[in-house]
Amino acid sequence: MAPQRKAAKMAPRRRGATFDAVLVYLDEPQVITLISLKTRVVAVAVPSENQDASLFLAVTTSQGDWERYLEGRVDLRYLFTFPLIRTLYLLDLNDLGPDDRIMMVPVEGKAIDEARLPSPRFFSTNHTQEYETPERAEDREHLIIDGEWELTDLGQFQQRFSEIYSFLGAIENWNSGGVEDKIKRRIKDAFLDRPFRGGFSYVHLFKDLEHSIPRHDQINLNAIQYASPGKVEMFGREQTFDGMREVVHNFLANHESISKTYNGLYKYLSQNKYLQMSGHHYAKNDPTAKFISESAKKLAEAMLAPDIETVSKLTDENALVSAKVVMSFYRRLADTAMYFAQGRISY
Amino acid sequence: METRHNFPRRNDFPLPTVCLCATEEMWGVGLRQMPFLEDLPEQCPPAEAVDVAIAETYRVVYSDPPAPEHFASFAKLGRNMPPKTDPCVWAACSLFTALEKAKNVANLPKVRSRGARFIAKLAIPAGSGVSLSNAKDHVSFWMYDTFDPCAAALEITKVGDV
Repeated sequence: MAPQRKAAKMAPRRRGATFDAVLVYLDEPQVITLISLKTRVVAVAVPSENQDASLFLAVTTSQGDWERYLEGRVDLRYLFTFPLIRTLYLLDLNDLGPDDRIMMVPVEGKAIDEARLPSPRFFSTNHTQEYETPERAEDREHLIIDGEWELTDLGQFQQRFSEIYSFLGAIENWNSGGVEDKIKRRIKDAFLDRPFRGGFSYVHLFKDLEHSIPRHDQINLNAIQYASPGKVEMFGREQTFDGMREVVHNFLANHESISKTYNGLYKYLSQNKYLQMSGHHYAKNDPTAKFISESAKKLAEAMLAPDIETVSKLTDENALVSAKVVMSFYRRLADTAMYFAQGRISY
Repeated sequence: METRHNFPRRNDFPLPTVCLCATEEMWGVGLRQMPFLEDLPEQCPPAEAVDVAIAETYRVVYSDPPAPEHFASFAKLGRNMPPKTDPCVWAACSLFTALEKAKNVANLPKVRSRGARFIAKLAIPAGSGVSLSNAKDHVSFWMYDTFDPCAAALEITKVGDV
């Protein structure tokens, strides 16, 4: 019998980092950023008993959280207090070497003295120094909004619209020769990392696909003008916006036949208990694979998206998972198209 | 009113550092040297700094009314200048052109640790010093020795803890 290995959590060690930039300055640097290998580090000046020290509390942050911070979607305090994967360090900026390298000392435990934490609501809009951020998409899409809207309606519409955008954008990226391998890996991982047995799998799939889109192509709500009629302006990639217009118009024109195709496939999977079956348990050579594939292809072609061959490649030719993904795309498209059909949204 | 000026090199003038500058009224009566309140490093202020009126600007201070040392640079206060800091900016007084930003920065931990914080709203007339503003609402201000920042404070607001 093999000896059992005792799981032990490694205590964080001292860690080197390279100075990157000052973000906030008031008589002295107040917030700075560093890079440790490929990990982003954000540090805030904290009081010290030694007045000659230039002490900072530093935290490692994921690229996603760093971008969210720069975009103003999370505050500085969030980076220090909330992400599950984070390590806190102390550094004295006076120890910075001529090569801009500095050693950070881990902070014991995760309970940080409140006096050392940034107050809530300190967003990147409060930076006092220029810091180059990756460019955002600049192509615009305008929608007209009319009629009565509840706050939840608007939130749901934006979510669905952006999920379809991200799905179509991810498929475009997967098929593009000019897209980096690491982005393609993220797209592939989004399809392979889950069982596709229930709603959460799809929620996470669309979220992961959204995160796979590089910042310069991500959809970004720029402005909403509340009036009757009002306007919504979004930034994104023109090619993807064009694709969306096409599938939305097509859905509105053919929604009855598309829904019939969807319902047929749904009924078959439901009656044969495939809806609750994990994709991992569905064999490639299952005798139903051909029928399910053809039904999913019919649905995807009726909707003009997604490209079923690409979906099939991304699911490693798993007919059941491909069909479930196409059906989840249908549900989001149907939700989105409903707002257009109701007259509350139009191009 | 913008002022045309040339900044001398430190070697050109003995201490105190002076600004060879002129307001528009001064043209025709000759340039005059304006000494700065603080000793400045060489080639400071930078050539792009200007002597210009700033109608509304904000400074974090630590009492109401503020004390003159609340406007002093950390260079003047004898603090150690950390690396990656421009010595000229280190010798400047940090101002903000956006009130909310001044309040939010005043709530960062190291500033907060100094106790009660107030925001002084200042009106700085031309001829008070030279300043360099960036696009992020921060102004580095080098005062002439004739300028009294406490007298320029129009309004003092206490900063609340968030």
